[in-house]
Amino acid sequence: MNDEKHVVSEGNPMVMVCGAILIFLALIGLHRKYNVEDYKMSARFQYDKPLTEWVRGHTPEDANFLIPIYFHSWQAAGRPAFYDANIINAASYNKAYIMDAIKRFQILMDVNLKDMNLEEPPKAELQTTWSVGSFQRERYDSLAEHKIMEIKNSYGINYFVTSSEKKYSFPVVYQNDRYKVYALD
Amino acid sequence: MDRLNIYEKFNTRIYEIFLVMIIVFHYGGILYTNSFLSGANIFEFVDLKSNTIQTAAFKSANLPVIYLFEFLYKGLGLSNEFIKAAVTLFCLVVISFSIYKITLCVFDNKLSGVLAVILFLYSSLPLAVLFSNRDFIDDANPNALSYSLLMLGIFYWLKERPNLTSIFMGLSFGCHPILPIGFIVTFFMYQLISYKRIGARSIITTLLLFLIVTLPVTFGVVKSVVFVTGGVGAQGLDAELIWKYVRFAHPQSAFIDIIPQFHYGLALYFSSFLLLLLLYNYGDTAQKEKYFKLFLLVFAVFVFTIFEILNSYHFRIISLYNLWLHRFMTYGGVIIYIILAGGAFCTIRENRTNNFLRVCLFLLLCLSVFAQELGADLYMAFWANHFYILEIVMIYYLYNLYNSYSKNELPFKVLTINLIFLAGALICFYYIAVYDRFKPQPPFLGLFQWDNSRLFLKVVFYRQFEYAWTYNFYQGFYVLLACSACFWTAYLLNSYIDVKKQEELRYKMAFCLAIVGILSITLFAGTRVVPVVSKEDNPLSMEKLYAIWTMDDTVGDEIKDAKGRYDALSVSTGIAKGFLGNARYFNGRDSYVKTPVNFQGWKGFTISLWVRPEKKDVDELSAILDNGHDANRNFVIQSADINNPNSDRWVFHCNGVDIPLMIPPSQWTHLVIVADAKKGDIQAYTNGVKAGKVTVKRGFEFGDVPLSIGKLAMANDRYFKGSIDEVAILDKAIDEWREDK
Repeated sequence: MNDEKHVVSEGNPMVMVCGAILIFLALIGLHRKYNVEDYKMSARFQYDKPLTEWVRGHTPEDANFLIPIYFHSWQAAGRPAFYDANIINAASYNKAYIMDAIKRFQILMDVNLKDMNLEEPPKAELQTTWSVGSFQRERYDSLAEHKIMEIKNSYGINYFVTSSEKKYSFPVVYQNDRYKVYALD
Repeated sequence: MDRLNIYEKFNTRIYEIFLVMIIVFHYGGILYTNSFLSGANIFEFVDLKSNTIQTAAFKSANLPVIYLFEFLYKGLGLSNEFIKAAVTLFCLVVISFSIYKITLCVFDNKLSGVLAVILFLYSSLPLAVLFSNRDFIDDANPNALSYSLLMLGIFYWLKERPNLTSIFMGLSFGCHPILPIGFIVTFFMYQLISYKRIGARSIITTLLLFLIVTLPVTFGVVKSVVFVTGGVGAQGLDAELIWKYVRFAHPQSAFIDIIPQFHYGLALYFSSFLLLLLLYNYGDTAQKEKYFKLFLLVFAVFVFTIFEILNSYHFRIISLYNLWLHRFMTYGGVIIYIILAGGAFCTIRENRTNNFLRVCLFLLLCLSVFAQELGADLYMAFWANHFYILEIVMIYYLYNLYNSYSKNELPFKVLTINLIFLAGALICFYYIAVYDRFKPQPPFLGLFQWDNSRLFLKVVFYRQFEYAWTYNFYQGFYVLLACSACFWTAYLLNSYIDVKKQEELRYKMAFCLAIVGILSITLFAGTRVVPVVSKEDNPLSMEKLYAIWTMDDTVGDEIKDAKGRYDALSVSTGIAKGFLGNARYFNGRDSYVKTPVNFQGWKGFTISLWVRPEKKDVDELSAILDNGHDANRNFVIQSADINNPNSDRWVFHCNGVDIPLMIPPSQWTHLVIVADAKKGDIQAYTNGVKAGKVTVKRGFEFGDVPLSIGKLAMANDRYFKGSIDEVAILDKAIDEWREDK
């Protein structure tokens, strides 16, 4: 191999031009890395940190939550959830979670997967890896009070988290720009 | 050591120093944004009482990394933040330097190494998945550690250190039993096929080392194997139901081959294969082996991708594993970055054509980093950029193959193998590109009918150029030309100076040219960037938009949001020539577009669109946009004169106030409507000229009715006749943008 390729100051000036372009690229990337607003645009930051911190600080460790199906990284809250989308990650390790997760999912969405024809691809839901799609979001945001109470009674849910504008009669214990937390006890 | 020596040492290590600087600053960015605190916390992995599902599952897999976390957190008493920051730093350093060293080891070029690291950290070339592999670093969890140790394993494999490879791959496996599995299998398969060369002893040693390192997790692995091979039925699981669940909750995993990202990924796979084959043809024996190993790694990713598709459509063993395979492909992406970066600098034969093609490849890779800074429409840009890369690599490959053939440099056997590989890869690429499982399938040869061929050619060779000349694309093509022009200017001037042997001047010249080149690229690109919304003026930059329907879709009823979030549904609309690219044509009888965007809770908005109304056959009102307006709430743009609805008089009615608009028939008019709840302002612009502004004291109120284009939102009435194009929404008011300009 030719050692000259390793040395920047010798030989081809094009190497220096490319080096300058690489510096330019690195500066662009670093600029983006420091731009908090841009960085929060990524899926990684879709979760609501203030809410998860509030949950950690103000609810008992064994409190059980009904969380939105579109809530990202609920594990940051450190509390169990009736149905967490991340359950699917865990389920691939451990069979114990799979069937129970699917059962809860069907209760939450009020659907019976067995009876549904799902052989065709859905429309407008294939663009991102995280988006749960308008149908699921719509279902969660329009959950009826009696349905919530049914889940509460069956699974011992203590809190209900939503970003829906729908009015519920439960007391609000936390609220920020995006989410409300209702106490069910 | 005298000063000169230090200078020389500095000079020879300048790339490593540059890399360290990037890592230091990048790590600063991670700390600045606190992104290292994302994902699960360390105490969740350690705390046995934790009920969070993911960490509980990690625990059940008996991963050694959990014991490490337990030791750090409980044994040494380190805080969660400290451990996460340390893990992040470890992963960043190990992954970055592994990428650099792997590239250097294979391609023997430091610039390639730096470029590969920059691509890993900042490029936006997705390999069939949207999320970036760099996010793993920020997570500072077992995934990230697994990835780091895996990269070290690959590095030592390429350095012919199988024992170290085995240890690091074992450690990687101990951090995550699924993500590195493809590469581990590849490594041991390679050991087996090299049986004659390396001997049985070496193979047994590597296997034993792997088993010893992974001992704590071995039991978990056996359980997994039993779980998979024992059949889901034997475990009391319903495979069909699991598949339906994945299909319903994560459709992009069940139908990976029909998402656009999959086709980007194919272009990258294909580019990497061709580059490796080309380099293999001209490499010496040692290099060939390294190229072959890289090929095996990419091939492993490819095989797993195919498995994922087959699993979805035929096997349906455990659909949930599809989700992990997605991440495996993300890991595979870095190998492709390494190959592309190596190919951009690796010299096959020094001549102007080859240099030009390599520079084109290099600049395309650069574009994948700064496309966003050029205001690129990301969806379009990434699509086009992937296929630009494929095209350049194909030309590069075919040119050199032809050259070698014409000079009788390659033996007939090698040439034949190349051609067979090329044909096979092309057929494979073609088949996956045109195959549509949701249509009745013709026999295999029937797939090669003219319609499919035309579709294939359009996808691979035509579409991105169409973007360029229809001004829908971000002008990457022109940027490429500008970059090439800079390169050739630099090249010719340097050749001239080189003849004169003025060394000092030559270096100064190179630096000046570099700066001029970069400025030219930026300025030229910046001035030539054609706005997404308008040819002449774009108040709404792409990054800030909430949604934009460019109306360029020509297939199906789905109208894509170029931001990838709020795809709309077309009902009975046609395709027409738009202001930019295509537009949707509304027949005035029953066609409209239903969007999922509603404005409930918004403090203001800005909507920009191009509209070309036509006179309706009957005298009735028409609505261009509506979100369920009534006398006092919401908004609509509709015809204003009830006695003469086909006149050019329209109105923007918003929260009870009206702004009249003049929109002449049969010509394109640019509309911008703005509502600002903070100031109480409602305003509208036609072709950049303010049509009116009204300030109201009472607050605005927008309901939850989704925006409808081409008719009233809540009634089948006031159908619009004409064309509508480039509907863009910003979730805030852009104040007085025209006056500012």
